[in-house]
Amino acid sequence: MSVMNQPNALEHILITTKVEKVVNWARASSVWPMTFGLACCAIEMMAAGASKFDFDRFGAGIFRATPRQSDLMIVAGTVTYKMAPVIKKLYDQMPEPKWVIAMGSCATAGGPFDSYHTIQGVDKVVPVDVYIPGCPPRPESLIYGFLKLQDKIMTSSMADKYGEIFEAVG
Amino acid sequence: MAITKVWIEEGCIVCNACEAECPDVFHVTEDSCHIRGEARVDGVENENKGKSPLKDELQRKLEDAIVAAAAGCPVSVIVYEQVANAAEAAPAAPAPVAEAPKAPEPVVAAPVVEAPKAEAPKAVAVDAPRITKVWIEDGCIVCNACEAECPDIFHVTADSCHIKADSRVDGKEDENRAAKALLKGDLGLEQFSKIVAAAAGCPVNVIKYDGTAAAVSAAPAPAAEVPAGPTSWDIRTAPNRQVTAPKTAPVPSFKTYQLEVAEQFKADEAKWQKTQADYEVAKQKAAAEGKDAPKPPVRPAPKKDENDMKTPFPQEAKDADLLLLAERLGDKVEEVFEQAGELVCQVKKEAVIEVLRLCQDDPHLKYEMLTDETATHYPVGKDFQFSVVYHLTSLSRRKRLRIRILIPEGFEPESACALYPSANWMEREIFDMLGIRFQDHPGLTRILCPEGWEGYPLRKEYPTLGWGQRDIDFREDRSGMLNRIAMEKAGNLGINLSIPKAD
Amino acid sequence: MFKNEEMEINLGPQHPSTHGVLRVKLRLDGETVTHCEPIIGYLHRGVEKICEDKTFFQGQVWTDRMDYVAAISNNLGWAESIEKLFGIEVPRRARYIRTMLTELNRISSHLLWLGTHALDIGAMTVFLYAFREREQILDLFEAFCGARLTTTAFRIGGLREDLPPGFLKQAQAFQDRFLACVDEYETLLTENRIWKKRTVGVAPISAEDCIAYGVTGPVLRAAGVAFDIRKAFPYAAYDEMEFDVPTATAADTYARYQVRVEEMRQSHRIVQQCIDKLPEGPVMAKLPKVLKSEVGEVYHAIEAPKGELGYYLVGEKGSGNPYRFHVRAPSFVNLQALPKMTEGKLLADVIAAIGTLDVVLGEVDR
Repeated sequence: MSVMNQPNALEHILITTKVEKVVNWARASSVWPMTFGLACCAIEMMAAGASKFDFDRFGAGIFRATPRQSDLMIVAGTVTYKMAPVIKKLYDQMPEPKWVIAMGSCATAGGPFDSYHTIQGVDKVVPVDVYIPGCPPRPESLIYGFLKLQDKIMTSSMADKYGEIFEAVG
Repeated sequence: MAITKVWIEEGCIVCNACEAECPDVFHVTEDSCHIRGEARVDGVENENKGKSPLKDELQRKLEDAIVAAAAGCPVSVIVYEQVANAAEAAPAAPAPVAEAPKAPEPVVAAPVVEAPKAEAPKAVAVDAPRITKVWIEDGCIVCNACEAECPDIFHVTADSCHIKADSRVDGKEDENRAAKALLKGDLGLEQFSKIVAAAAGCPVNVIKYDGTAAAVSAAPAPAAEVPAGPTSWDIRTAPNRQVTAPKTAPVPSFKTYQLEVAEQFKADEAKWQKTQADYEVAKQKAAAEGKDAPKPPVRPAPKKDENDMKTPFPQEAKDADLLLLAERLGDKVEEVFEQAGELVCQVKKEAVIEVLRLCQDDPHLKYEMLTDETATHYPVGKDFQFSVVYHLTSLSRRKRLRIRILIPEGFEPESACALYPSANWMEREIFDMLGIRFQDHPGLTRILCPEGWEGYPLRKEYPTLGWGQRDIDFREDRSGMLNRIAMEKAGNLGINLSIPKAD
Repeated sequence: MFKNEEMEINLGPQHPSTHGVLRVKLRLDGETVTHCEPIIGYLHRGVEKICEDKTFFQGQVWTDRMDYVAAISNNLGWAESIEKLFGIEVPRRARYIRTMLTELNRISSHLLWLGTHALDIGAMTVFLYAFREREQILDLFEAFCGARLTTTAFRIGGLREDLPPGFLKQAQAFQDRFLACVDEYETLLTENRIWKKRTVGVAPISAEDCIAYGVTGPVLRAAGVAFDIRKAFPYAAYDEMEFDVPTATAADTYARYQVRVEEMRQSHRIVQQCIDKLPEGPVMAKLPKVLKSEVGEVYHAIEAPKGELGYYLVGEKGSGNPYRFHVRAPSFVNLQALPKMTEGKLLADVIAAIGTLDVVLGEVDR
């Protein structure tokens, strides 16, 4: 006897949910980060992607080399005055929706480089979703930070991004 | 120019320096310096925290003296307001300054960190601050800083600092922690400033002392760390962006080292002569009075360094390469010496390319590779402001050589690119970091900092935090992309964002 | 219809094969590079200026972050240059441990190079293999000092702590399987036809050019010049070690690959000698807690995985800070030779050339 002949058959084959939730679930489960190594943290980011830690388990293993194909910018390293406009440009080139992880103390707040050419945190250049402390953070920290970002994506509302844009132009 | 107001900030150490400089305005009391009532419009004598103006007739007359007193204040607590023209400060009556058309800017004397002057407490004998006992708490790290500051009282041994026997009443030499023996005679008066300086300079703060009221109150006076800044916020003068200028130009040189040694020897000799002469006088005096003759003085043995971790001093050049260079180049060589096993050859700044060519070509030298080229800024150098050093390596002979030139500001040394192509980026880096230009360089542009960067970061007057470039907010939408997207999306929704909102 | 004009393109500063934030301005005639200009400074963090503000003891933290792939080599050069400035004698056991850690670091640096270089050229597998062994070495570092990358491993005058219990056993376990691993990488690459096509004869630079441009390290040795600072001006415990300086004569990317792989074997040999001959004794020289220098300048260089890493220090009398702190970074000087290696060659070879130079941008820009 096929399923369809049972009473309440639709409940067995259909799940009712919000579109937003499905979209968020899809987005959170396949975040494509951009290969954007700036300094020391990039090495730990590579280690996270390599054999021992295997970032791919969380659906974020496909590091894209171009901003146009990526959803997530992991700013892994020190942001300098010379590099800041480049980061800004790359961020602008990423399609919406997009997220930013500031990995390490340099990207978070300048780190140990309290000097003339270092921007004190990437949040002066692009908006940041998750900050990961550490100098550099271990791959486990990066993975934890990424899981936090997934939580954030799951709870985000589609109206958020539009709201931000309207705010930006006043 | 005239000074309208002068007041004393917290932290006066009662050193009397200001009163010596300008007695008409300053009066140093037991616990702080006061501005005299006679000099002030309101006639009260205190620190003048209320900033009452100076009397009209004094404003111009005493200007130089007040400026000198403020500059000489060891803790920089004397603050004054100066205006270009006395007439502008016209409302001489106790009118508030804020209403004056041009608000005068308070000028803060540059913080000069120096030990309080020794002669000041001597002049006022009785109520001058005086230290009665000194002792060392647990935790000395044997850094020698106190002995360098005040060798008459402190003696640093292998495991702790001691108070010298001949400075103490009980004549023992130890930390004086338990006994707290008094200091002998007038030592506490004579050495007052040195002891205070030594205690302040102790990195672990284990030097403690006790004394008369004035001395104790003088003790906790910290150096003014954050001077009251100018009224308007200027990023270049913000306290954490100020730099302390170096006092010496540390260029190691065998010649200066020899001079220093000779001077030291002479000073030692003179001191010994004087001690002997004093002894003769004392002996004759004792003989005349019929007392026992005093003990004959013993010449102190040269101080043995317990701490053998010292930078190796420059040595005379013995290496064949250096001697060859000195012989070939004659008077183009300013100096050759060895330090820490490294060969150094300082040459005339115009001749550096010739020297490098010789080093590269000569079959006895054969320095094939220019390993490193860098420069150092010496803002207080006498007739030079920069040194440029070339580190040459001979791969075949396994040797290294340092060529050094000293150049004044604005001098353009010749580029070494033609001889050693590796100099290209190194010279660009020197130009970028220190602003030295090289003649005939193929492309002397900034290399690390972006084009259009202001200032040369590795100069000593350049603050580590820069001149505010890093504080630019890059989040503003420079490309206009965010704006464009918003317009588009809003357009799709039927909203016209291009009409400005009414405020 | 057919236009014949040169095209200018930018490689970087965000590019997966530039190993960081290197930007290379290329002028192309078809596929051929006619002009190549590396533009650096995107990671200039002012390390030299910061270190002038710090005491001699503090400065080490910033050296970690220059060549972050080989932080221990940087630590060693920093510690030894200051020891030279103060004339400090380091205990023998400390020198042995330093040598051992530095050589392990050389292996880990070369492994990272091997993985990323192969990845750039198109061999993905080697990356995963190389990182497997690299993680083992990082575990050793972690056991020693608690950090994986930015180690701050040494102190002026020796080491902060002796080796932790069980370290030597752990190190021996790594030693026992590492040589087989190197053979494994070689089976993947050495006779691989695609690998050889992409590397043999690619990005050559002659010994004369190397010397003229100040190029040191494996690149110089692959051109036939057996110059290794560990042999020429021995430091740490290298004068008591037996090892060979591998060289090649082809001076191309493949030769540099061979030299680096052989260097890993030699480093393995040195580590083994350190484990076997590790002397007993203290690991720290007795020295005051505050160092005050005299007037003096020193230049001390060590053989870092990338080449000659030199520190130039100027001491001011009675000062606890260096008056001038300058780093002669091997990557900075080696990168100058990039135009020489790539001009007139194909665009794809530029990627191989950047990989084979093994530059780390933290060190180039400091």
